[in-house]
Amino acid sequence: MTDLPELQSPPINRLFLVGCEVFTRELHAAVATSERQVDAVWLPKDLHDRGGKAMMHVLQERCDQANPERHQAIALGFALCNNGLVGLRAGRLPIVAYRSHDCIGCLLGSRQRYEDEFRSQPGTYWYSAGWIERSGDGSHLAPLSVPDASDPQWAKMLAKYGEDNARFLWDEMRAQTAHYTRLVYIDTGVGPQDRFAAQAKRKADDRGMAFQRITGDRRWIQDLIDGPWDAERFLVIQPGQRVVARYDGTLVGTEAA
Amino acid sequence: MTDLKALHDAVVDGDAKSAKALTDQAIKAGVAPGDLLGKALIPAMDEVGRRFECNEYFVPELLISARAMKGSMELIRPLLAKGGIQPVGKVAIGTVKGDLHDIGKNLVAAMLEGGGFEIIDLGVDVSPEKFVAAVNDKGANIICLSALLTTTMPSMKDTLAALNTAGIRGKVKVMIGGAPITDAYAKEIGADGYSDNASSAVQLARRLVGKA
Repeated sequence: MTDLPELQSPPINRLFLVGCEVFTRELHAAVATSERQVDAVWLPKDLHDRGGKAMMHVLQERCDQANPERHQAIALGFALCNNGLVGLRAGRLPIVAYRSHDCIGCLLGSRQRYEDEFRSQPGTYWYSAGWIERSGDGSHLAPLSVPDASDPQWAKMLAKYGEDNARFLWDEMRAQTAHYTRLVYIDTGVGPQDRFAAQAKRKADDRGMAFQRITGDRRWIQDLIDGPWDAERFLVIQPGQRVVARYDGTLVGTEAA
Repeated sequence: MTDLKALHDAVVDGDAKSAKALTDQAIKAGVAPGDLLGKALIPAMDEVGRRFECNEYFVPELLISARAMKGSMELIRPLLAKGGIQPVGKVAIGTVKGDLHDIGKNLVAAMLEGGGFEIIDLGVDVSPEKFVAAVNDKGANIICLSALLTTTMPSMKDTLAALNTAGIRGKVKVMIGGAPITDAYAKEIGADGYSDNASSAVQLARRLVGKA
């Protein structure tokens, strides 16, 4: 459980962090206490909604902005997110990413814990500081059936499809959380967690979902910055390699690009 | 024939009210239910699929056309059964164990129904045993498995294993789909086919039952 040998020499002093905004507070906390120097850029948390390939292209573009004269590795603060990493190539610098289904596993601290939670209660909608404070009105838990007349998306749908079909589509699009029964807030201990948890609880109450606040574990998120980048928790993409999906439980692997 | 053309166009345009009214009129005028399906609804949904493939239509258009088709089908379905008209195939469809996201599944079910298939909608979070039962008890000859998340993908493999264990894998074709699913994954777990959208799922299903 140590850094991969090829990453130990020369030592990594400076990272280029390409982070998902969901981890803004947790990764900033990690950077603040790290021995390493980190230059960071942040990307929107809903990249996964654009589909795997589109997400990967955005990540690629940002990773390619690292400066090999200045950085020794790229820390990618993203998980697999429905194949959003697949196809990503490492150029002159190695890229390190979370070997996790998505951010929830990272926030909970381990894949095992996430998979256990998932198996015991699949109908769980997850929130964390990032998902609360960076949600805006585009939350997936927006109320059903009452389109906000000032919402530009609604106005566009109304003009394009007429009221009958626009209402139908509005409900269809918003119905994706219809089968969720529990809302869990993951408290990672940084920032005004009580306020965020209270906001999450209000969302649960509005939707008639059971609410639970659980304690997260920042170690996995932290270790993207500090290491060790052990293969169980992290994927290291060496220069000249690209990411492939794996179906054997390791989730992701690499091949020659 | 003008009635059928108008019904066809209403479905293609996603005009649910007109589609229902035209179907009602046609039934009252004595148009055979098989003709309503075979000469209006199926060609209409094929046209919707064609437009989707050419990027003229997108998911919202698929949804509203499917809605119009379903309204019409509600009137036709009882007559089809009474008239002894056989579906192209019998599809048991559901999201796999642990997966509760059914928008994609619903869309595929609607497109398949519009393609002449009978649909047994098993809903969400469907256990492998329920898929097995749909084959044994309801005579499904196609199973469609949907998963939105990489966390739930392994349930597809479990479902195929359950079909094997039950000794009925040879009686049924298995199609899989969903955001993280790929053709490579379908091959890896031994599914018969993968489709990356609801329109090509219809063509795949027809191919699998030899009715392409």
